[in-house]
Amino acid sequence: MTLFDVLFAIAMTLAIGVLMLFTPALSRGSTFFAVTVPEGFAGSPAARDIHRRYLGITAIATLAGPILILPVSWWLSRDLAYGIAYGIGPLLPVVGGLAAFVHCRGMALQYAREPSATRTVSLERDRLVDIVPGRWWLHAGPYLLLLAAMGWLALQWESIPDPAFVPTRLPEGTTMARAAFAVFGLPLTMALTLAVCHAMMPLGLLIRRLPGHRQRVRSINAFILGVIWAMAVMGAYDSLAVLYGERWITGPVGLAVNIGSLVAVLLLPVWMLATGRFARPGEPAQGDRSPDSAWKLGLIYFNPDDPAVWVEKRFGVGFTLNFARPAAWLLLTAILAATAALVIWSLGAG
Amino acid sequence: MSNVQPPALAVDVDSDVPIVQQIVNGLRRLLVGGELSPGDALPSSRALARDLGVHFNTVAQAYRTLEAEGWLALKRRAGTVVLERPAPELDARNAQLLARQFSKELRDLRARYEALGVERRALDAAIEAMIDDRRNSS
Repeated sequence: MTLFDVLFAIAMTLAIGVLMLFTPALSRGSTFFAVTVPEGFAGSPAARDIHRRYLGITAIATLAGPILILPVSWWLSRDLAYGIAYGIGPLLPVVGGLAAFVHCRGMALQYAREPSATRTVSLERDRLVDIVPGRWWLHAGPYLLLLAAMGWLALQWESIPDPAFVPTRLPEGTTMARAAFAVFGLPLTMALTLAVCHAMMPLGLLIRRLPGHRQRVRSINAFILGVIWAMAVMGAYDSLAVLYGERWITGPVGLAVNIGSLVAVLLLPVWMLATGRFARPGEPAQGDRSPDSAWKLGLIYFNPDDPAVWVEKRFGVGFTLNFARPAAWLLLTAILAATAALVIWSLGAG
Repeated sequence: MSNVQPPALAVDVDSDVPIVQQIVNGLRRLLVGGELSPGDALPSSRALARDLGVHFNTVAQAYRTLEAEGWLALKRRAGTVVLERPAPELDARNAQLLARQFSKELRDLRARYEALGVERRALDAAIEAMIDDRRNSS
């Protein structure tokens, strides 16, 4: 493995770990580790103990990532080292964080109280502009960035080496014959990924509107916009490697652009939380009124009495499905089928 | 961002009052109080049912009741819209009769809550608070 790959894998693992450490703080004030708790419980000594335990387990799992990645990058074969560094390393903080969450939820359950019987909802109709932040150029910018990179590659077509270094072919082979697929494959795939992220933004119109709905959905969409920009910067920069060679990515500038974008996007929710952009201060105490028993392990929502298909997650940022509704299974099947089709197509094309 | 709170609707799922009646009462209160004005669009019955966590037919029935009373228009494309509703014309005798009926219903309601063990003083305070609210809002 190159030094770039080792550093990138470690940075990715640590950044995901930091995100996992801050995830409980992104929950609504009315719940604590996906359990409905009395107002102000989060500040109590019992809550602080539970939170400390979560931080401890997640931190250990996060640090286990680099401890695993460093020796395997040294001693194992190239393919196996890549698989472990990029596959298992970043998974450790996620698995550790989820395990810590389930454990801490079990501890928090003894302080659970019944959700309020009163359900208050806003009668104002939401429009897309209410829940999607940023002006048009902030949304078009990432695509224009990729388009600019593709335009530059088209202009410099004759200067592109044949065969060319293709970053998406790592680690098996690093070069491909100079062809449209090899040169424009990365920016086009990235544009498609950005479009999928953009398509997630209107989902906020479909979820149950809890108190503080608009501001919270705007915050979630601001985070998605941050992800889109980071992917566009990485995609546009890395796609030029077919023209400038491997050093374009593995050199100090490439390292700064790729790792910087990754760390910036994963720390974005932390910054948003610190600056109050996740709308916790002043948010009505009465938040999610679904019964705790409907949240299996605090992560999977199954409530036959709830007509909603999309609901806000209790742990993490974003939305999840109500798996008691047939529409949720249909949607999940459609998403999985589309993903499988895309993977099969790209493998066939590659 | 505006500081004006958007109109909100609350239902109590543990209440003895049926949810459909709570929705009708809640919306009627907002319509009479002017928090919902003619031309305002309401969420679709499906969206409101999802937000409240109740069955779609419950909200649809509440909307139909208010449509029959002339408060709302349920249009296929435009959705549910608040209508301009002229104040009902009452002659002095009918107005007096209705006021008397209101007074009787209020006394019955108070007797019912006293029978449940609520102190008379607390009920009087609630009525006075309601009158104060009304005065302050007008």
